[in-house]
Amino acid sequence: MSFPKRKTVKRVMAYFGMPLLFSVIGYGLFYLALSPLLSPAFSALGMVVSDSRPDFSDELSSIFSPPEDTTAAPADTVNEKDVQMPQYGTHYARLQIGDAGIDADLYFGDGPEILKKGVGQYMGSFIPGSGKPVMISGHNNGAFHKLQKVAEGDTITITTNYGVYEYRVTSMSVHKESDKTAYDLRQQNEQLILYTCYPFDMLGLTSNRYFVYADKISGPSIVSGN
Amino acid sequence: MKKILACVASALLAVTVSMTAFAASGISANEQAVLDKLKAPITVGDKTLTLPAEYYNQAENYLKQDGVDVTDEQKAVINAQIDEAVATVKASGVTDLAKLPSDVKSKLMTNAQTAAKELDLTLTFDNSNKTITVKDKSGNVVAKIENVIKTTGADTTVAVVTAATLVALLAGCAVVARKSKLMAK
Repeated sequence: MSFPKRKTVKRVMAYFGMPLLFSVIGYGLFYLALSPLLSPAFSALGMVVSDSRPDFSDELSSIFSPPEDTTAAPADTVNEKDVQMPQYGTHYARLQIGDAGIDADLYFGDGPEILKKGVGQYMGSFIPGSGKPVMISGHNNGAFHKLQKVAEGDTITITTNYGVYEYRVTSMSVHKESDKTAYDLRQQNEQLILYTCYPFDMLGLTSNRYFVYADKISGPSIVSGN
Repeated sequence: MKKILACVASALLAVTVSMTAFAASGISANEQAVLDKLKAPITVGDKTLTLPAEYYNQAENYLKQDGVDVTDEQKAVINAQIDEAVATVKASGVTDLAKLPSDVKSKLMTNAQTAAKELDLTLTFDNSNKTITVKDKSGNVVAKIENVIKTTGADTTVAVVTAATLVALLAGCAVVARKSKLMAK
């Protein structure tokens, strides 16, 4: 390449190519760092400037309405006819662990879209009051980040439309996700099983899960209406 | 074996969840009979197999839904489906899922899809996630055959690798610019 041409190429690279490359790379880094903050802003902007009807068909529904009368003595039983069984993706209760500072919406089902919103009950387990295991999961960088603060003896409260349930934490342990001894879905006891990914500050996916086990101490049992 | 049981469970769920509404929530005698049959052990050779609890628990949860009930005729249909699935499994004589013949697997898959189609249900197989989703005609998910324990952690691997790549590119550009004396007057 002749000297003048080489000089031209260098000038183009210096004054155009490199700045463009630096700009693209810099924008990419900025976007990665700020995307969690930009996403809601763009959603709000989209509501104002959108030229198409918004599609709410994928939004999760809610049947949860906390009991108004909290002064009445809690009943020992509730008729199953008074209990609305939730469908997949339905917000039907609220889970609180006061000692650990956890307060989350509880959904029926535990798909990815549900765990973004709150905590999810596995459909192969049962709703509170059934007398059978209740298995609930949440993200370790979301609703269940503070699960690491839960200790033996802490009280877990699940508030539903049909009653308020309390469970006492009995133990915590770490298991592999494939370890089936970590839970028993056949048991005829109402054991509450909470879990999330472990370690809590792990970057990337992990095969370990942190389990919290609790036994029911109060709340109405769902009985047949016949 | 897990896939066989998954297909059996899907076929049974496909039949049970299609029942039209008559009664309110709760488990009726007919529904309990179906659930008892689902839970019954299957003997193949000298091995005893049972459906994983999470499968019939989902059937039980669906049968408790408002407006879901099973008549005597429907119970007979469901039990016949269960018996056919069990017979297929027994006839294969294989207790190791990995060694199950492909024609047997296909038969169970066909049973599940035929039952679903006949009863306005959709069975969706996702090979990438190895899941089976059962939906009613309204598109509501009524059951899922999948791993019990879910992914409940943030996967920041992609973001970290992308950021690291961008920083490396930035450094590379700086080195090239310096060596080529692009900024030199």
